[in-house]
Amino acid sequence: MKKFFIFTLLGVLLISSLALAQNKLEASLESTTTAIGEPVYLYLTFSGSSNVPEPTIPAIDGLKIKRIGSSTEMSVVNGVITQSITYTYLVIPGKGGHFDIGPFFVQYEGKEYRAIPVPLLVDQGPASQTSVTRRVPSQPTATTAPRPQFSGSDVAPYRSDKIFLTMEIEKRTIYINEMVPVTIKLYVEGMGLKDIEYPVYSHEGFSAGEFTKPERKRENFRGMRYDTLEFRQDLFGIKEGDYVLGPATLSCKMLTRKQTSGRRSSIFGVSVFIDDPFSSGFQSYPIELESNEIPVTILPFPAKDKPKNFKGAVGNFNFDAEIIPSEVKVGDPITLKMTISGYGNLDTVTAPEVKVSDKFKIYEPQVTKKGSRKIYEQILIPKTVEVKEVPKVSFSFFNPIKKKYETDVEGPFKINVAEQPESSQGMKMVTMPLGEHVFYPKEEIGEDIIHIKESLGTIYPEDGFIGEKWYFWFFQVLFLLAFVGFYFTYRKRERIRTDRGYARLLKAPKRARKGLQKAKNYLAKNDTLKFYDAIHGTLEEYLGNKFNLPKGSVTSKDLEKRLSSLGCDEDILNKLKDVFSKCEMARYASSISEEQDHEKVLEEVRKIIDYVEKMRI
Amino acid sequence: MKFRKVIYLAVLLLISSGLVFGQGAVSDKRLFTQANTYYENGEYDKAIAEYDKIIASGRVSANLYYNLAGAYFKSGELGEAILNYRRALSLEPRDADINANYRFARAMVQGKIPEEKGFWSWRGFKLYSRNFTVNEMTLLTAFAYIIILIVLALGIVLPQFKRNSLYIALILIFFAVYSAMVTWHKAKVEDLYAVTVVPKTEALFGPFSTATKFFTLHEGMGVMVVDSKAGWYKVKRADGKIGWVRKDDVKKLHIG
Repeated sequence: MKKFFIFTLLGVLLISSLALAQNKLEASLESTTTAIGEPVYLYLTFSGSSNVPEPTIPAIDGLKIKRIGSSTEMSVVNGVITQSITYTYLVIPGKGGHFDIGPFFVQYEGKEYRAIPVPLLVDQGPASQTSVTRRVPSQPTATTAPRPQFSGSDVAPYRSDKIFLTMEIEKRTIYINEMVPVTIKLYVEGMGLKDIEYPVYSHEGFSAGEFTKPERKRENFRGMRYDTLEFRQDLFGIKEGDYVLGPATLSCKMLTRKQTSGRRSSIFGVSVFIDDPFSSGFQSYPIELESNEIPVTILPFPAKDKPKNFKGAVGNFNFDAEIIPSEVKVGDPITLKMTISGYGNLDTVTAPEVKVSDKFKIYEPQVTKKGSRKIYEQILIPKTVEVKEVPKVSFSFFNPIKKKYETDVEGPFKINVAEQPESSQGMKMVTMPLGEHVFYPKEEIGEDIIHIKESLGTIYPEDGFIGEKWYFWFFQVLFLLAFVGFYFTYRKRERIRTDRGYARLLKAPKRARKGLQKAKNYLAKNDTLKFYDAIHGTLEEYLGNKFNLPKGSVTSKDLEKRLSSLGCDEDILNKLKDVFSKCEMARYASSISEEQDHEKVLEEVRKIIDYVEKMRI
Repeated sequence: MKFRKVIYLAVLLLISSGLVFGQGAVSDKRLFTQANTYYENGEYDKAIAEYDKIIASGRVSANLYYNLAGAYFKSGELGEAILNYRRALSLEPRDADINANYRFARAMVQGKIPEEKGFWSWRGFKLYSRNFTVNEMTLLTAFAYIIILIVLALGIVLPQFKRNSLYIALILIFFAVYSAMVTWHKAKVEDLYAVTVVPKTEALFGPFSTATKFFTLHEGMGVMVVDSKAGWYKVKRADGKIGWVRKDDVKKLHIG
């Protein structure tokens, strides 16, 4: 309950405070004086609310007013809440004179608010050199410096004295291939900049090197302290004639504090070159700065006293040469190291010519560039011990400082060449000191057949091809027959293993022969009972195997029926019946057993088995 | 008793034949060394005569033909040199020295004739044919054939191997057929190949000296003898041209 009262009270206070805040529209200019083409900012601030439409901007002849953007602000001062919105415009004067910009109107909650006109004095000539008082509360009052005037450089028009770009060159008259540095400098005073790009400019007649990393400095210039950003680049004259360098242009974004109607902090103390893209307290506006132009003359090389070996090198150079080693054997390499150092265009420096006799073998020089030095390493290989020195080498260049040609000579270099030891003659691998290249001296290669063999080697009888021999084909056929034999044997064995009926059919005659032999033995011992047992058992087993009948289930009638169905001879069937009958009688009534009958029975059984063997079962 | 006599006789026969063979081998080595000495002394004709004596004994070797070819080469008989290098290669085709000298000698033959492009000039055939002797290829084919039978037998005995055995057998059958074809071709070529052993000879349209000249054979040039007739060979050159040359002008690779 208590909390409810507190919140209600705060709410009432807030509403009453807002109601108490006074609504008003104000107009202000960044500067009251400017020059033709030099823009100034116009701020229209409505205090009391941030939800106000854009004020009406009157059209003024001679001024171009361009909307940049808007920003809102809310502040509580001594319990009073203030809300405001500021609309920012860029006023670009098109002609000189005195202008009153305004009045400005805006409709808010049925009421019309008015801001009084702001005066602007536009000079006809260059930017004003008089002091300016800023009316923008957020911008501190500052005295502008007079527009800088450079010797050898012209400040580009249409630039503020707070931010401008200059271009300088060391010399305005140079020789072809001569290197001359160009400096493009960005001057900034009391402003924030970001997204500064490298300057671009026309440089016809020149080739340009890379820009060096820009340097930030602080510089006093005509009584004013500027932040500067310096871009340096080397130019090389490539074609004689009169040329104009520039103007250089540089794109960047200018930062200004967002406008507030209350207290505003100073821009000073903040780095002018802001790298932080999230500098939310600022508004950025893209601008393009333009520098002065510079006329430059490129002169040709003087014809007078031009050395014969001059190949276009321009600069102030030093030339040194040395040989490594000075004591070698025939065919070993000597390195002639030539170093050119100093100030100038090293790109125009070419390898000094080395004139040696045909007693040297010479290879293409290797070149390396280290800073302001260029090193040529020339490999020389003495072919004979007669060589005593490496001739002198010279390097000619044009010195633009002295404005004359200079020739530096090094050598001759004494060397001591010895014969190669006997063992190392012939093909020799030569490695350069650089460790990268291998040279193979030209070698004479002989051609002939390879020498004869010492041993007779494997002796072959001179009897033709093995494929023409009978034994070769004999073994081939033998292997084939062995395989065929193996195949059928294996198949039969497999059938015996897996087909019980077939196995019994195959073993039936063998078993029968054994049984008959056994019966014969019993007959020889005159044991008629066992003889008939054996005869019965043999016949029963034989026919049981032949018809694959289970043991014990074989009956004489069943066998007769099966044989009869296979077309068995009647006589054989009768014999079978007779044998079985005799066996029965002998086993149960031994009175019929006479010697004559026994032999006959045995013979009949043999006949039955022989007959059945011939049958297709 | 009888059996024992047979054994004694067999052993005696073996020993005597071994002695005879050993004596022959010793004689060959002696002749070979002598021929090499002649060669190294630059007496190439004598060296050739000694090498020929070994060949006449019916025992040959790749080294023997190689040295003989060298002696011929040194004495300026390019055709005989190439012929004997070919003979050496037919016994030991993978010998680097023989190959090098054969190529070297062949490079000296005048009038290069482009070879006919055909079935037997396929790289696969050539590669196999060049690196093995006819006997080696015959044995390889026979070996593949035996392996096929063994693999098939294993496939019958081992049911789990049946499918794989068929695949292996198929591959081996392919190889055996391929090998048999190449072997047959190489044997045929070696049987029919001949080399021109005279500095230059003309191949005629017919086997008589008044026949029209067809083409020329230079010393060392190889031909295939496709027919013969009293004192004449019908030869086929590498480019497919066929003509008649005198038997004395070319010498066949295959001795016998």
